[in-house]
Amino acid sequence: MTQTQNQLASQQNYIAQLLEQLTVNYQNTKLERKQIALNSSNSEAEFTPLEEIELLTVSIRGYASQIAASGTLRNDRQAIAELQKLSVFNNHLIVQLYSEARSHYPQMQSYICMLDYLRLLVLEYLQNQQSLQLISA
Amino acid sequence: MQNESPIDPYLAQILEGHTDTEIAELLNYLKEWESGTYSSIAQSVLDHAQRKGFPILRYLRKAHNFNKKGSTRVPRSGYRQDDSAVYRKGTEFLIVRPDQYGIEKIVTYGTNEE
Repeated sequence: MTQTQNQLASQQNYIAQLLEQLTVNYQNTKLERKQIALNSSNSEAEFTPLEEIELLTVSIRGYASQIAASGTLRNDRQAIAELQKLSVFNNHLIVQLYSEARSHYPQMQSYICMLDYLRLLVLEYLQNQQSLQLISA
Repeated sequence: MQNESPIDPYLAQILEGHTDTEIAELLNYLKEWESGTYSSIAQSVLDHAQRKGFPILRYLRKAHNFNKKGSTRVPRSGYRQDDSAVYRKGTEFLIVRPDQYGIEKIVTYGTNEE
């Protein structure tokens, strides 16, 4: 049990560090975001890839920020279900942008990878926390 | 013994160093936002402003001053399956969701130039 508690504490620290790193990564995409905005058509039927990434960013960062600050979430079961759906690769516009990013937008490619990594880390943290609660019960 | 709820530390952080007039302005702007997956609205807007490199008051003012009337809305009416909609104008965008009373709250604001 102590081992799992230690693991959770390490993961919590790591999530906090990753959030800071992701802020830097986001700021590093500034020039590429300008370029992506210029090159992508502003469809009136759907969100742009940058708007999809922004929405995903705030959802994932919100959960991660709660864990970084307090180690807990208000509703962890709901959060796990939602985080499982929030994979960056579930969104066709982001997948398309990611493919283009390989050759044209390396900072954005790195940002998308890091964002999804943060999502997976938060998921793992919540699942470990649930296991610990089961052991303690 | 009084049962006072503790002040949100993020709200305290937002208000710190501002004048009374600015505090009133900040509190007014915060009512326009939703907390989303953050623990509070204050935690959410602080994180957004920091990521986008704006001082908090300037960030909230920019979001507040976004002119929905002159913008394009997607979807044109109603909301997507995830309850969101975006208003965009030039390089700026405002993503919103309706609250339980159907009043649109800001999820995030940004420009593709920040």
